[in-house]
Amino acid sequence: MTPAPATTTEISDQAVIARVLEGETQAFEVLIERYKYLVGAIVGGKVPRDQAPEVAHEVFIRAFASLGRYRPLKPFGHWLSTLAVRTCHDYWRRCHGNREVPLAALSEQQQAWVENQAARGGQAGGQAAQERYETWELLDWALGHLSPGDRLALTLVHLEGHSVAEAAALLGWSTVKVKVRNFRARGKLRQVIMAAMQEGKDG
Amino acid sequence: MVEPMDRRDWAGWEQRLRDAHHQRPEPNLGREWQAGLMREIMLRADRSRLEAQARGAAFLRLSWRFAGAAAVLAVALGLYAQLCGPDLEVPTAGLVLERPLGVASLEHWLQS
Repeated sequence: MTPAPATTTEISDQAVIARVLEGETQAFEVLIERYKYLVGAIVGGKVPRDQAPEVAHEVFIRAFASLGRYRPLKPFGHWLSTLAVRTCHDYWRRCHGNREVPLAALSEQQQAWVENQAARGGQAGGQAAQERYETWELLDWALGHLSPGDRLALTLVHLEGHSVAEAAALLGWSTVKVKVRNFRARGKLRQVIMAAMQEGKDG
Repeated sequence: MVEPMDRRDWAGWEQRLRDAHHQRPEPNLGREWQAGLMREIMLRADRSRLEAQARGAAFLRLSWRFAGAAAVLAVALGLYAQLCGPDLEVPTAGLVLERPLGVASLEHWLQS
């Protein structure tokens, strides 16, 4: 008997996973359809925008390869989120290993913007879109100074508002390690941004 | 030397960074991306299926080789036992002659 086609609304994740494991690979598309926005949101906030589709692709490939090890003790979305965060961590570890993270000084334009912002005491002003873009650039530049682990801990806890316990579960670390890394990363971030402002004032 | 930053200033900065982070645009994971992903997944599935088949065939070949070697060994041992083993017919006949009832009772027990 030919199996019924997998639709996105009727079948539970467990049933879809069982079908994929039985050899009906095409059913995996249902999981992609359901979870691509979740993975996109996780990955989009942690890797450069132009790299995000590639990293999301890797997340699903890893999920497919290790689907046999998934145990339905927690929801599939949670398992996939963990996989996505760890894939982002691996991405930064690869970049860090290859020294691909640009650590050059801020461009003149960025420097001028930081100086201008410093003069206003970090308060937001007009031209919201342009300022937001500049803030992303500054944030990415400052995060580039952190180690992959510090970067992920800071992003999860401080920027995205996850609890320490949630971040620890996502990263597979102890809560103490997350707290220490987050604390250290916040200090470093502050130091880097302050140094950039100081340079702006001096230069 | 970096000048100390006012605590409130830094709190403002942190808030701005957080807000900016929350407003990051999500990546475009459209149909093309999904089709590319599914293509790779199908390729990987086919590859792993072929690998599993190849592993099965290799195991089968190995099993046949072991079976062949075991058969040759059994024949060799049989021949060795036949040609070089001690002749047990005489002691057995002696035992039967000594205790014929013992053999008869064993036979009886086996048939029951």
